[in-house]
Amino acid sequence: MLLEFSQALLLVTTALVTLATIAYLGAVFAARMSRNSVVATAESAGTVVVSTGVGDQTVTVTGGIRHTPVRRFTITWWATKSTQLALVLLTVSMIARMITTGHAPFSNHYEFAIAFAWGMILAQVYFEARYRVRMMSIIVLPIILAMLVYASTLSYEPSPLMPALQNSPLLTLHVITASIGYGAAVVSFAAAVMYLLAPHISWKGWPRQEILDDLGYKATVVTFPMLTMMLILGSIWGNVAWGRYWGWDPKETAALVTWLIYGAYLHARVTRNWRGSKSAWLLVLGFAAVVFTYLGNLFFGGLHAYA
Amino acid sequence: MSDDTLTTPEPTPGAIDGLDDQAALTPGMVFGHIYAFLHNKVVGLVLILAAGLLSLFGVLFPQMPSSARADAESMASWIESVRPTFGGWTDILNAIGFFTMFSSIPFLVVMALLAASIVACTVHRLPVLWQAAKHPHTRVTAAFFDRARLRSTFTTSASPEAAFEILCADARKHRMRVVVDDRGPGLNAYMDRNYWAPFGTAFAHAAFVTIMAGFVVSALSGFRNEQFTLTIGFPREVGNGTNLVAEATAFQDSYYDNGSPKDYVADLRVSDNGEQVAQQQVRVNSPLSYHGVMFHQAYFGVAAVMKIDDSSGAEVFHNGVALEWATPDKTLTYGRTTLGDQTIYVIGSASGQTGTGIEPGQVRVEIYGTANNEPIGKAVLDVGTPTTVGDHTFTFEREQQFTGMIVKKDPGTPIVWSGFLLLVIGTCMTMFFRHHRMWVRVSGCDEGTLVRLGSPDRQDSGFTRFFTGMIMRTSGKMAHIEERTNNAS
Repeated sequence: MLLEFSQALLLVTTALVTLATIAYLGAVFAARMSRNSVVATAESAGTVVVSTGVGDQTVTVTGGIRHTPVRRFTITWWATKSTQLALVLLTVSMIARMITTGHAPFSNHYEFAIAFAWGMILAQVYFEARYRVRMMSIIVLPIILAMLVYASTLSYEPSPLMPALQNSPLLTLHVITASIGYGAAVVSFAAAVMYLLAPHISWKGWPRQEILDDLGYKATVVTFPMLTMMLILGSIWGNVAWGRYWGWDPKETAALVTWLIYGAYLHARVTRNWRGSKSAWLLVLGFAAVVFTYLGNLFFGGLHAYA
Repeated sequence: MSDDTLTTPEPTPGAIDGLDDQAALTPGMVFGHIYAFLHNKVVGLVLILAAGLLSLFGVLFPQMPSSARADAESMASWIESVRPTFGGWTDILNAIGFFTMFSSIPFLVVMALLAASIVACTVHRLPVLWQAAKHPHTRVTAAFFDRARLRSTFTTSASPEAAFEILCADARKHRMRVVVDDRGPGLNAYMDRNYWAPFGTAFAHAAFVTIMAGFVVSALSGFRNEQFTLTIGFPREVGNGTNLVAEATAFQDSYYDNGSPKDYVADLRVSDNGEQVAQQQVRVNSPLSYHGVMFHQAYFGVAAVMKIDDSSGAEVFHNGVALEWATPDKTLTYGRTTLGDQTIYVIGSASGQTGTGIEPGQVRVEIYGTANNEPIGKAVLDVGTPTTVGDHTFTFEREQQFTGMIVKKDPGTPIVWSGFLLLVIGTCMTMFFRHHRMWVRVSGCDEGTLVRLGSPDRQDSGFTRFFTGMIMRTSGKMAHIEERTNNAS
């Protein structure tokens, strides 16, 4: 019964993400057609005027940020709320499944697809609330939607935990760090793609490259430590279960490659010549590695063949 | 590179040939060039990507299992098994090391260069970090405040001293270090936060080298036996320089309704010099540990308990032979043991297999010498019936469950763990505590007091928000002073 409830919540989540995707695309299209948005963007192009709090005295800050209050009941407001509700429902869905199966929902390919989607929605909600680059939703939400649709093609019947997976704390932590890290990687991917598209888009409502570069870095600041923890936890688990901290298993090696790419990206930012487009391409490459790592076990087997 | 090495000196008049005036190439210069190459950030980046690329090849290409590397024959057999896939490229890929990527020369060279690059980069960077952290550049030009990426200029009627104090107090309140520069013009201060954070890169770099050192120690020391089989009730020496004896006294396996394994657990006892020192139920995720020697539950199956007597009737073997391998067609399972220079294979029918010539309650023994691949004796044994084959009498006593363990001692593991700890510390320092800087100048002007703040740091929305907020707070406080002064007058 709970399993069907969990599955129903997943369907509602998919519907909400679909609505949010359409809403964001519609909002961007409407803003693109509007003259007002151009004026608003030009005003926020780097110099803000802030109140001193005394009378009407103001001070100018070049390069500063001033968040305007979020207008309620706009299309993007509804889209944001839909995404937030989708996160809540997907979380409840995962908890319901956990109660049914008796273990965290991270034990097979279906469950990890859901966990991956959950990580992406969490990242979308967090980064949208924190940094207000709402435009990234037009890239992030379709990817989330694709993952949810992919999950719906897989069998949702719970599979029993094989002995190696019966390590609840490590299983939970290992996979949850992967979910969050991969989820944030989608945001950095979206920021990188938008950064690379920016020179080809004449519309002034497109986020500034400087902001996209910072958003890509901020998302990687979540991805890289999470991938680090995932690799370390996996290593500790491997040492407990199989007596070795590293086995060059295809999926763990692919995860290492992903980690190296994000490490290269962070390294590249230190090198002056590798900022901007080159580092954005590294983020695109990093996300390709994430997808490869996630899907790789379908082709390569190994110790991670179950997920 | 100095000019000395780049310019070609004019030949000395009267010299016999042009080789008298060669530029010097001292060992120090060679070392300097190597060092400069290694600490170059682009070289480091290329090496990281090369390591990633080679690792990717290791994922994409099938890797030769360690069992196939045991001898040349096994290796050749494995190579033949992949030849249909790679055709004429098989030998080339094998020569390059694509089938043994993680122990291949290209991979090891890249990893060694990467380690050297990391060490050089860290050594090169530490003095710079130390200088920036302990002796920051506190003085900037007036033009800096016109060009800084993040900047603000405003006037106030508060006195320069009061305005400067408000700025410094606000910075200190928000955990910023404030370094006052008395050199003028006006009142100047350098402010920063998390000045120790850049040292995180040194931790992260040290972590990488430590982890690689752990890998090397693991490869060169300790031992690992992945096929340590224990037939239930029969003790076995661990060997590898230890005096340990392990015995599984019980084993239980359970299954889910769909037939997949649910749990398998061995009751393991370990003795050291004849005295029991450890006992534990060993599961996949619950290994037994004794003085650094780990016993991991890995697999299980059926063993044939065999008793072997020599021609004089003396017992030379009485133990289980784990039937741990299967023939390619999966119809037979077999195990082996050695007796002097002879290898004894014990073969049984796989579960559910009939028509193999080995009925339930039977095993076949085959005896091989060192000379050739043909058995020097073989026979099918009925349970409990002594049968003489060659110089020995074999008795198949019964079937008994065996547990397969991984037994290992790895001194490299604690080194790797310490590397992981350094990695976590370094990553957290670098990622979550960015070094933020700003310069402040307060001076008198016609309108009263001119306040200028600037930060050249690259876009960081968190710090930008803080900077903007600081301007709002401090300018507000200065305006309050101005308001109170006006009210008082």
